[in-house]
Amino acid sequence: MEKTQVVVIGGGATGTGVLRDLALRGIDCILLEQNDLATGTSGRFHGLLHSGARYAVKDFSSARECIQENQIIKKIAPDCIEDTGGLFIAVKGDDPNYIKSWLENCSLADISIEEVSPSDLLQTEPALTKDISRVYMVPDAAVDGFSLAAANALSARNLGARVKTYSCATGFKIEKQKVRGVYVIDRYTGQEDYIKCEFVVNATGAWAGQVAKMAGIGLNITPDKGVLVIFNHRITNKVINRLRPPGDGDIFVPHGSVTVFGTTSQTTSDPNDSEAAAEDVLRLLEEGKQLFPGLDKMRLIRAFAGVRPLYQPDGAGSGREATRDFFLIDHDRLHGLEGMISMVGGKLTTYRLMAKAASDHVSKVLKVDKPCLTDKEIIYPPIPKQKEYDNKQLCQCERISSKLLDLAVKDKVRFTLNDVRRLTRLGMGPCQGTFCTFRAAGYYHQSRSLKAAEANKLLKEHIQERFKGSIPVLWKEQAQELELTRGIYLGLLNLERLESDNHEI
Amino acid sequence: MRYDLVIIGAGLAGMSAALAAVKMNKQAVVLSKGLGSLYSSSGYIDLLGYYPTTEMKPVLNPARALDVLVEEKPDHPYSLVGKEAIREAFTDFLSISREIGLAYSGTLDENILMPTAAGALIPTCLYPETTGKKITEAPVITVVGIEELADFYPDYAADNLRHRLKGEVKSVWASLNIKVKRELNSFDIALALENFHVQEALIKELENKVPRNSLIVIPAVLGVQNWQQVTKTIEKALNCDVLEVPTLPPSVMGYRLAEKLQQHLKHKGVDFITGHPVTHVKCSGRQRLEVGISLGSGKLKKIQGDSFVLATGGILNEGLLACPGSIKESVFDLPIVNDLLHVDRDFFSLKAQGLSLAGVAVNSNMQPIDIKSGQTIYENLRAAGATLAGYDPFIEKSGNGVALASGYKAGKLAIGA
Amino acid sequence: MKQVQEANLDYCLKCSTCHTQCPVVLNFLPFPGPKHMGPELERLRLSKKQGEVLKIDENLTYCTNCKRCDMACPHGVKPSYYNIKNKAKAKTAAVQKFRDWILAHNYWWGRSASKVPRLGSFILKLAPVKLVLKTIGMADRDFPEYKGQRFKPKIQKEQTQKEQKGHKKQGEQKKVLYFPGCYASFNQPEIIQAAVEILEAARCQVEVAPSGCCGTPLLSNGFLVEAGSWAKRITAVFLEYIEKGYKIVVSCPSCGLAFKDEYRDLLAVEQSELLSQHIYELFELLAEEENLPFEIFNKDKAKIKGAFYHIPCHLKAQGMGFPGAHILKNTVVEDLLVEDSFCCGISGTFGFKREKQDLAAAIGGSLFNAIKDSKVKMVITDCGTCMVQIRQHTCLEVKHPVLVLKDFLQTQKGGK
Repeated sequence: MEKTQVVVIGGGATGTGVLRDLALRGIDCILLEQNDLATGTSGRFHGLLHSGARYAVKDFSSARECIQENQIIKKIAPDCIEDTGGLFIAVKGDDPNYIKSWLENCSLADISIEEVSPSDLLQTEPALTKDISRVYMVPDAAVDGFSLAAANALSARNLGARVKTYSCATGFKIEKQKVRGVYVIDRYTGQEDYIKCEFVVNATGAWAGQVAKMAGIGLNITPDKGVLVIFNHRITNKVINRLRPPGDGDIFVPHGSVTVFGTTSQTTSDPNDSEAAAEDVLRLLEEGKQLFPGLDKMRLIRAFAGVRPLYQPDGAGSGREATRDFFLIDHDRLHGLEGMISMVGGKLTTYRLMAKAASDHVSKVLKVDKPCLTDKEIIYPPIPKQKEYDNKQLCQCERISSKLLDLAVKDKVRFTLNDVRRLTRLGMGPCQGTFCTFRAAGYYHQSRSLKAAEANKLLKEHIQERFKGSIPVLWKEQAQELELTRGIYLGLLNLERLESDNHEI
Repeated sequence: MRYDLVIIGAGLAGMSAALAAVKMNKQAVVLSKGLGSLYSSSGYIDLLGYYPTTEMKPVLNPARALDVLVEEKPDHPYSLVGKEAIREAFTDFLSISREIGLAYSGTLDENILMPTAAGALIPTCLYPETTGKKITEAPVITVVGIEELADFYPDYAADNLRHRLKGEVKSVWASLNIKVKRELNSFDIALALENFHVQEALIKELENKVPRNSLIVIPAVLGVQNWQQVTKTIEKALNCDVLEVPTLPPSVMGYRLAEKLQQHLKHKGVDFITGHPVTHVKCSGRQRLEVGISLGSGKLKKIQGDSFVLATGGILNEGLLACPGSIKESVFDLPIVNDLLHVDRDFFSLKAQGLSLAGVAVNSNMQPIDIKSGQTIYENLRAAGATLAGYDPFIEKSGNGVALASGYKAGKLAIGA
Repeated sequence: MKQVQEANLDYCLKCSTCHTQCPVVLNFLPFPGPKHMGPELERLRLSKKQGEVLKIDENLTYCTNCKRCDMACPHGVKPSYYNIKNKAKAKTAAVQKFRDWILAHNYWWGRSASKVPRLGSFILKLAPVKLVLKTIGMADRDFPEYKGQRFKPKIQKEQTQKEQKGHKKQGEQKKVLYFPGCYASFNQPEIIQAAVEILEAARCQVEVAPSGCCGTPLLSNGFLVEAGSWAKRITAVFLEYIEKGYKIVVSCPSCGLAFKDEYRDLLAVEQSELLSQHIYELFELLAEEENLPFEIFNKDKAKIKGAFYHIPCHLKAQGMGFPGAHILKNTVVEDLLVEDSFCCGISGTFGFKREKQDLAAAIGGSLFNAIKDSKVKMVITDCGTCMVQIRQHTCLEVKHPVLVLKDFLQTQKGGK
């Protein structure tokens, strides 16, 4: 049994943000995450650090929060951000009245706007449609959700907080209407444990309803699925938004060497529903072609879905209509359960604000009189942004050296190649792990003295996971890539029969 | 220019068809978009490694397994090529392989198990003579890795091999002391090992690490041209047997076969026009008359032929194009069997993947046929290799075998032999 | 580069087949090879800020632009496009830049040297000059000799007009604008005379374009802007002729490749697509028109016994097959060995650079060995700089195929 003041459940941006905020206030805390950090919505979105402009018309208070947080995050997490700037583009036929009110509200929200001439823009962004009517530059940026969560967790850990990944909260110990502790199971070893604590922060996003239910509380979370695709190369150097009421397929975000494009909006019952279908992808492409006419000729490397943790306090709107605002649900006040709050709604751009609200609340309850410091100090992810050019690259698509592979698993007892990938971008290039998976498995087998079976498992899981993401886009190059990957892992290495092929000849 | 035989595709199937043509002194041309996937392949000519495909244990006698396959799967390319033609293609290949200086060994009646770079064992029946060493019978095996090479991990391979071999398995690293500021692939190391001093360095590294009389298992990097001599030098110096293992692309063993075949065919007068896809086809009734390749900015180079062999490959090499929801044949728009994509969501499944099963249906003359009526579509067009429907080469371990046999038969029939 | 080509890197599956076909990789291990320098790094370059260059791009000076990677790719990637595009941006030492500039501007040097040809060639051989050349990074080697530019090909105007009448029954006479290119213009004008005679014998009405450079040396040395303006001017001139019904004929493979492919793909010259449709390599025209200036199977005539036809990389890259080799094989040469597997190493200006000279010789090694092994007395090849390189390394007679054919036609006439 372990003991701590606060248990934070959920290893996304919000959870790691709360952990860091509390740790900075000197509060002892433990984070529980059922998978690896940022495997939920924080790692499954378009990676857009909103300027707020997208919400200026429909969700004004969100827009205000976004622009303020946008400026703070750029300052405190420079290694997690690529400050690309963003464009809002109206094409011929888009509603001029919307543009007018958009401009007014952006100005009210203090979002800086600069008009760009369409012909100048086409010089630097030649892939865009020639049908542009108006373009505005806004302070959008690209943000890496994986490294942001990792940077928050690293900072918290350096302050004494504990981070437990692959540790799933299975229930709460509740006595006298107060949460006394959390039951937890180690998903690798199956070992059960109990953590005694004074307070629990439920920061599990789309899973918040499930976690609250373990405490006997009903929370009206509607998981809303958004499908995104990844293009093989950078088709734009700036974030591109369509200047119209937010809809499907109107955000392009350049991310390192790739472009993320989305999204859709579809209510789902299961927060684990992360599968994209080919129909979703084709629908997205149709939409996207209005901005990039050559879009269907560009290589897609995978598609995935993330689940937005939309919360409807009064059961009002859903999907695109639901507010992007966040809510602190005080279960003491609302449900008469002491020692627990749930953070719901919101978006990655405002994660720090959510963390601050949660930590302010916790500090008050625990009677810790310390201010929030998360807007002051800079945080760094475990893998530095500027990668030096190293000879021993194991992943040539994304230039990942063996040194980075070492760094990625430095504090880890157990890991998967997927965990390594989220930190380093291993296997995120066009070949989607075809070449680097074998190398990484062989490399870790040696450097971490793994057993053959463990290395085989690393390899197979990663190939399988990469394959899964390519299924919705299994045509043209990615179909070829699959056949090449099968040619190597089945045809050349014969790995499908590895476990049970004790050839007794 | 008019040719007796126009072959589209420069992989093993296409070159096999060309071999049949030059044997009969016919003038052939090979048109191809690029160099084909032989360069990425193991270089083994595997007939049939597993049958039925879901079987975990390897086929010991592929010729006998073939008998069963032909009975049970009439649509499999092997059934259409026929046992006799398969045997002839393999036998001819064995003799040609000697002629071109890349001698192959083996028979259709026995699969031997070769180690893979991950330390699994894989069955094959024809293999380069220099790799004709039975790892399953070796008492002491030393797996050697090259420090400069990122594509082979001797400990990992040895660890896996240990679970499936009776012999004692060791692993060692060797440094070749090559200092260049980039990572090297198998092909690069093989280039370096053409140099005598680098061979010396390797031998020196291994002298004290490798027990005498052991079987050295080393990635296929022992030279791109002179591997026979390099292998012998090392074997002699260390008093060991040396067995090369095919690596991730670029595969040196695949390269050697591809280059040797190409050189041989060129010297026999076969033209290779590489780097441009066939984009134009002309026919008269049920005869193909002409194909054209689009050059540079769209100019068309037209090539007439008496007969045509389509050996453009499957999905991987763009003989078949996967589009959202369907699969198309890329040159003649021939009808496709299994054109609807069925995806098995388990990558390591032993069931065939839809992407591999799809392809062009042919009759036993290798002529593409209409799927419903079974009628021949063009009298003088034949198809071979991965373009064909009805098999998954990666699960069966039959890729180069089907390419060789179907290409040879298509080529032979096309020139009217 | 055109947008279509920008997306070209998407086709790369990383199979590295191109890597195995790169003559530089084969002989110079530090060169990262076409896959890495091309599609692989281009993805990463796209994510760099404008103007920012990768340090590794310094290696691009080693790319000879032989196009063997483009031809090898099973999926249509053109690594050479990226190499040329990025060569222009990569940092090179000032001296090398100056040297490259000089080599890239061979046209001016050719024009000035050929005005006083003996002096030009003589100067290149003087010790002090050699020292200067060495300091700026020129190779200490044979340079092509400059010949007088005064050369005016004899065009049989009157005769052709007479003949025209006679041939009208058989159809319109073909109008042809022959573009000789730098090498023929400045170094071996007899190629021009031979080309004109062959074309006339094939009943074409020939005009010879004024000497000019196609832009290939500028391109391969990374002077893209300048190459672009050259290309524009040439395209404009050619299009005038094309409108009047002319076909443009070349005898230099690099000129042909530039007009056919590179103007569009690398320089994005307007109407280059139209231009490329009307460009013919001389033998390509003869083969396509099936309009040979002689009886094909004239068995009585004494043929040349044994020769080695080296297909230059840029001829192979045009994808038209080997019409020159076929015609010579069927008519002029007995036992013609046609070999397209090797690069001679010179690659235009590459082999004239001091630091690349040995590498160029090494690259050509396989070719020279194959030639020696074949025991022929004569080598035939279309490219001027290939000729210089092969001559220097094999000490054999190396001839342009139009000269071989012309000589044969002459003996045939004489025989009559």
